Amino acid sequence: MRVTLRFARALQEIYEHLDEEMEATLEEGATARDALAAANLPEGAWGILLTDDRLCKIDEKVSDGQVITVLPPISGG
Amino acid sequence: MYGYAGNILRVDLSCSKVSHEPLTEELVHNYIGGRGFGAYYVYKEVPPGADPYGPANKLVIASGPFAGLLLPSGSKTSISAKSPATGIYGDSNVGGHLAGELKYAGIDAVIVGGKAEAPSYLLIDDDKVEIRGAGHLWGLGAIKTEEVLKEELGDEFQIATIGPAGEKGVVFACINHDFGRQAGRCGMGAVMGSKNLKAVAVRGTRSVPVADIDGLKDVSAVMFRELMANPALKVWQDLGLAQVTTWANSIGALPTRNFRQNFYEAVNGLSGELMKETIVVGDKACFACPMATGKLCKASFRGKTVLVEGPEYETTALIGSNCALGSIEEVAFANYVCDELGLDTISAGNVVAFTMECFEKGIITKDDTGGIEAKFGSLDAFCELAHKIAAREGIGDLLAQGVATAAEAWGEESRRIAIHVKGLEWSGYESRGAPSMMLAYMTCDIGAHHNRAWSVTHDIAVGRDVIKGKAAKVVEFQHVRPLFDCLGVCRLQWVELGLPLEHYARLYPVVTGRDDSWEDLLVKSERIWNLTRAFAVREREDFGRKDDWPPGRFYEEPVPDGPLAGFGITEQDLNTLLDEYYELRGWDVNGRPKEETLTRLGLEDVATELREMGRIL
Amino acid sequence: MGMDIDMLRCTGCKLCQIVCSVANFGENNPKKSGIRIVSRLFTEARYDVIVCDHCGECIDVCPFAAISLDSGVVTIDPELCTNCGICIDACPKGALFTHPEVGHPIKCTLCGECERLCPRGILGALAASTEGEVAD
Repeated sequence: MRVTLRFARALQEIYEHLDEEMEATLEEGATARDALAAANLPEGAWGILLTDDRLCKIDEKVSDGQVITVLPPISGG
Repeated sequence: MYGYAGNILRVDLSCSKVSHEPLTEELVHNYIGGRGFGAYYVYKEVPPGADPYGPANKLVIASGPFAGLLLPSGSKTSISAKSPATGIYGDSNVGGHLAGELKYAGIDAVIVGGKAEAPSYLLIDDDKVEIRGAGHLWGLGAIKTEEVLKEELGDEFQIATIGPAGEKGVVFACINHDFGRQAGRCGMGAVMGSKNLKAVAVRGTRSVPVADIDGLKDVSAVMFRELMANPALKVWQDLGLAQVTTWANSIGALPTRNFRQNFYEAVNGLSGELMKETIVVGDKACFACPMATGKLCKASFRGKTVLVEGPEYETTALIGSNCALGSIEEVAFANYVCDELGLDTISAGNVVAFTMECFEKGIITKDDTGGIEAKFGSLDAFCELAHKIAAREGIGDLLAQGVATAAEAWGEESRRIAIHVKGLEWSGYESRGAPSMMLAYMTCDIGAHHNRAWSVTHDIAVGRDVIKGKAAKVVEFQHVRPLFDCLGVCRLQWVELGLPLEHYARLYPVVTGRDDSWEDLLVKSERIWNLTRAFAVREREDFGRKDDWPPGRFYEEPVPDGPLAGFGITEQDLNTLLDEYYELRGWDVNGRPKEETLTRLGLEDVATELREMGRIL
Repeated sequence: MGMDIDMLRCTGCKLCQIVCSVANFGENNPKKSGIRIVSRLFTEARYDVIVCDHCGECIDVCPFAAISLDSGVVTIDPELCTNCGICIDACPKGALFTHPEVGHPIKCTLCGECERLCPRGILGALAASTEGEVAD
């Protein structure tokens, strides 16, 4: 299945390999964490994930066609 | 002068004298505003060796050119003085509505010197400036004081107050404003208290002139549009800074049990989501800010229910996990106790956690605590200690001087677990696994605070064990982040919501009519950074590398558990970080600005003074 | 007559006040504004939003016939107004404001700028309720 990841600009500035939008091809039963790993993003690099205007938990199973917006972690106020 | 009200208000409390003087072109050109004004006046007017509690210390309350205007969150007031916590330059900023109100009253900064004979408050009502008696307010809580003054004067007054802790000179006493906003750090509340100044109340009706009102409308329209379209905005509105807690825990950065750990096993009880579900009753914003990160909460403990703004992340980290409290409602209650007493929650959390660990280790006993069972996880103990500190009773008298002084009294074993730099307690990021952040804490000009540079994501991105090359990011942040404190604008819209810096660069000329580029402004920020360093070098003959050194715990103990278990940083690593940092800054190996560096930044007078004193070569 | 501003959702940022002054006076000055946010923080943990709902009660009390209803907008004519203050006392909402530099009470002109910028989107009710009036 394929999942679309949308990365906030602040993340693209830190991780130059990221595009604004990337597709990840995943096995059935994969989680949001697997999708981020597929985009080569290290643990801790992301802050909050949104999908359909709600928070998406990192261990949540994702489904085909799902769009996940990846926001950077906080930046210390 | 576009972007400015055009006046400095001087208040000499010793002789009850107030006077206005015009803002000078030179000051504005070199130091911008806010923290820059604070650094300039504190360096220039507080003589070396001055007692921070004495009449010679100056409290500078300064707005900046972006404050009070139609743009996102021009809400920041910087408050500066010689800090009783560190003995060097200190400042702390506060949001809310004070910064704009000062300008509407025709004032860019208030410089308060001397000491009033009796408890007083300062009233600024446009051109009317009065020093009024505050006998009826003395002893009241910081929030209660604001409430009483609002009833007396009216809601249009913007008010800054201190609580009992400020009156008693607790070195981490804060200044309170707008119900639940604080200039928390560096003991600015104690400086106010030492001057017998209980509150400052301001109301103004004037317009703030800008160079190009249409240009301002255009740039701010773009900024607001981008903010409102940002998907992260709703998360910030919903959770505020509380969302940080679980993230910091997941990457091994959440201060836990006096920074012994950086992972709190009970973090779910402190999460932003739980906070929203259980205690939040409303959202609150600073001036012209769409983020509304202030969360109004109701919390109950032992039959008492209180209304409090917060806790935000720092409070949750330092009072919650660092004292091992069990629930966000307990943290909110402790937050209320600190706000009303006028204690900085960051330092108070550190001081109590330090006491709890010393109690656990047997360094101190119930004989020392006056019978308090100072165990991790006890909100009762937190509240009792907080009250003793604010009243300076028993153990509270020692703890009121901060962890560094308490550790001097309690001996070597406690010294390595007193978590501070330069005498200022460490804020909410444990950094054994984040070398650039460690360096940021070590070199922050006011002591161990995160506001000047915050670079944990940089450590995650380039490698958490990487040492070399890390200092450059810290220097970069130490120039750009404090620039916001000079401009009088909040930086959250930039750092957290990714609003591009180019917008702020475009705002500067339309507001001020000046042609400085963003790079020019960064040079001014570097000048201010070197001036605050020079203050410390002038102040103490032996000031240098040892003052940029973190507590022993961080290089003697590896991380015990959590995602970074076994991780550590060595003394050699720390020295490498400092060597690289000093080199980039143009400072000598002992961390003193070189004469050529000061000269390059237009600080020739400072260079001459330090050279004549033999402080720099 | 109902203007249904959801005041409980107001965060007290006062962006409405500053944009009002810029839109109507070309100046940065939230005291030259036809809307006021009043803190009820200490007792009720909320804010009041005070703004004209164009009910028109001030029209008849004006001794100088300076106030009129114009396409659903209650408007003060600065030429006729003597700044006597009678309308201010008569306003049931307390939504007419004075300023030392302005020779007449300041009130909402229904320009819509505050509605457009309000981060909570709660001021839309302002225009909506008045449109209802006009339709009547």
